[in-house]
Amino acid sequence: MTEPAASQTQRAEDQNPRHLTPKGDLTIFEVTEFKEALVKLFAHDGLVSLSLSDVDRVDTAAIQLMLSARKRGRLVVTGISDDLQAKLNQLGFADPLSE
Amino acid sequence: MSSEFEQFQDAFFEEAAQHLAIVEEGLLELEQHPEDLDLLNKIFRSAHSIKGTASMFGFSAVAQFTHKMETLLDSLRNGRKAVSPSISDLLLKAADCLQMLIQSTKTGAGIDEEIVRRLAQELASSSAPDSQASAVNMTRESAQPVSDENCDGAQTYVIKWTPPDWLLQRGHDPLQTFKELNSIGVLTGVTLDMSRLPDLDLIDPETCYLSWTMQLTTNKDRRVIESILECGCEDGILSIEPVKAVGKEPNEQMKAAVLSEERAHMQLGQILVEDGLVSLGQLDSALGQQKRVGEILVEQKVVTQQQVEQALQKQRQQESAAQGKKTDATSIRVDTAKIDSLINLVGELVITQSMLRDLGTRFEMRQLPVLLERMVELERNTREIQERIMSIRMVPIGTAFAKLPRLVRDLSAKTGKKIRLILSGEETELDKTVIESIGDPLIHLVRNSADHGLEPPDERLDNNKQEVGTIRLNAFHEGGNICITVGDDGRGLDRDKILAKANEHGLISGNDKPTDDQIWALIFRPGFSTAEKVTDLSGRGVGMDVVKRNIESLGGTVRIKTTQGKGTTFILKLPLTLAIIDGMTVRVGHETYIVPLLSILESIQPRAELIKTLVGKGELINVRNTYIPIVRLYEVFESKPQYTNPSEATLLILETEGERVAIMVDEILGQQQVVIKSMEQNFRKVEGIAGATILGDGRVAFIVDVRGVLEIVRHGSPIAV
Repeated sequence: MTEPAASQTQRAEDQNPRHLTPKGDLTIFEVTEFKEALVKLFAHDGLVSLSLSDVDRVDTAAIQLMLSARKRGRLVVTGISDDLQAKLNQLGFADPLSE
Repeated sequence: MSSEFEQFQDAFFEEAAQHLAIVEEGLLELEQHPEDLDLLNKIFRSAHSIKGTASMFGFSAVAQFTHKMETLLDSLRNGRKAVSPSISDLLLKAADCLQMLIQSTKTGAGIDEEIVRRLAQELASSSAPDSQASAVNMTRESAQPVSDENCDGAQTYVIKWTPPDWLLQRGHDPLQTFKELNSIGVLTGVTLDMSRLPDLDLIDPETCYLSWTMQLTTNKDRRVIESILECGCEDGILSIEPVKAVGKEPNEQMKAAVLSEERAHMQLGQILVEDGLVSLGQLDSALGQQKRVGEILVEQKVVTQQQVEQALQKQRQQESAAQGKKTDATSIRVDTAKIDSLINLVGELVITQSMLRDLGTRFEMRQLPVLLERMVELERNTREIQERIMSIRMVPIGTAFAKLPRLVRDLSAKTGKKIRLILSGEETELDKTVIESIGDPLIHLVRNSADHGLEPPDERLDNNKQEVGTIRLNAFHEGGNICITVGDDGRGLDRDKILAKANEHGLISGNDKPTDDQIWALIFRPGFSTAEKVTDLSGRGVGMDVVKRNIESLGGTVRIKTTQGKGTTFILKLPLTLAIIDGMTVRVGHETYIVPLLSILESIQPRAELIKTLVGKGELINVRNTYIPIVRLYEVFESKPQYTNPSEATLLILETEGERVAIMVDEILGQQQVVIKSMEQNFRKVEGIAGATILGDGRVAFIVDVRGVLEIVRHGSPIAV
């Protein structure tokens, strides 16, 4: 996540603390930051949402992290691009990413 | 191509030997910890590596057999089958068999097909019942056991891949891997296993927790698949199983190389037949008329049939000995860091050398200090390079210990004794040549301890000992030597019985009063140890002379410490390296000798009143109230000294095996490292001299064998036999 993307994320969270909108790439280089953001997101009770519509590149590291987050059973993921869906299929993940 | 191929083959054999060692070690450990999954995985990976590379080289017998082992290991790993003593026994036998197969591939020696077939069947039946999946695999295989030919069309593989934890960290992405797999075939049925994926709070986002199962249909070689998933092989787990057919043919080129290699060893008849000049029948009948040289000689009554048989027997022994030699590992694995530092040093050496050359071309006297400085640098570089090179040859002794757990396990089963083997000091480093040569003596000593040293459980219990006997091996540095001890807590040597037997053999007369050490040394006598009765009585023996000879040929010594009823310990002392020692150069008359620095404690110029002469003990010197015998080196080597009065000469106080001795020399010249040149190889063995070296001025100097000198002085001739 580049600097402006992070600040935008911040603003989105400010508006709705149960919603995360990462921007830019989500790869091995960003996963640590992404994990922190997700942990923060799950600090709130109930359903939380993640929008991937502003995300560019996603790699297996980020997908693995989202799969781990999905285990909590209260994550709604929106904005899954065809490209990302194809990647999920390729990795053999058949279920929908979102609850 | 063929030499390259051979080189790769050698690498395979070396690697296979290492993997086999891991498998065997792992299996032995598995007996103690049957539930250790990590261990199973480790064994599996090694077996798998052997299989992979063997099939790559076209050693299909090895690959197929390993595959059967692997199938059983896999069902153990998956928990479909429990590790039982019978299973680990079977796997150990299979590992032996695999070693035999690999050896036969290497040397072309014959193999017992029956054993291989029987073990393969046992492996198959052991893996089959519990696991449906592998049972299917096995029946398919046994239906077409050696048919490797049907590999032209596409082949479907089931790939199970658990990448290493660091996969993502090192910039690999499984997505890319799948893309590549898709490019060589059709990838279907990709199933993701998330069972290891932790909760969000606990996850390390850079660690890979995922694993996959998939099917790939491709006409590419399995090696290609392996190379794509290569990064997963190292620390991860990778299994690629063909669904329809077994194994793969080796690359055609490699096959051709093997063929051309075979041709190089063809005999005349084969070549004539191949070229179409003679038919096979003609050749056979011609060969039938040929007589063997033995037959001819018997006909001419030069020798008897029996003598020919004996000679043939000898020939076979020599052949097998030669084969044994051929199989010896001759390569060494070196840490790249060691090589890098060596290259750096060589770089420095080159720089110093070019500086010196530069200086030499236009040298003026005023530059003398610079020259001296450069010389010092050169010396430092040379010395460091030498040290590094020597360190490359140093290998942990654990490699020599590795065979022993298995040996003890088998001996324990065979003799019905309960034996615990305790190894320590495995990390002690020793010259590779030394390690290679002590393997057999160690095995011999351990076998002796188990066979004769330790008592049967009942006898132990009767003697208030623990039922389980202990054999303890330890390796450690002592001075410039390595000490290896092999000890047991068995019955110990029986002094009286050995003595009685020695009397009987006429080795010791009734009036002699030999010391304990001298008595124990008797068991190293060739005839003595093999005499059946003595072996039974003393409980020690067969082949101990060989042990002693082997150790001594390495410049080492063997000592025995034993207490009747408590046990026996063999203490082997070996030099760290065989090539170079630190020595003190000393002068006696016009001769220069080298005394190994490690045996020197101090040097003194004694006052006349400190020297006493005792009847029967000779000259002694009082060194801080300890009396030490004086040995005049000129007397030992019969040379002409400058001084004959000890108070004028210099005394070197030496220590060897706990004994002190003062050697009298004319002068100490200095200390230097010397390269040992063998006396045996260049001249013949000379008692009291360990070797020779060439000094800086080109003269030859002898290296004093302290122990030998001591024995010459004490006994007139060495007591060692």
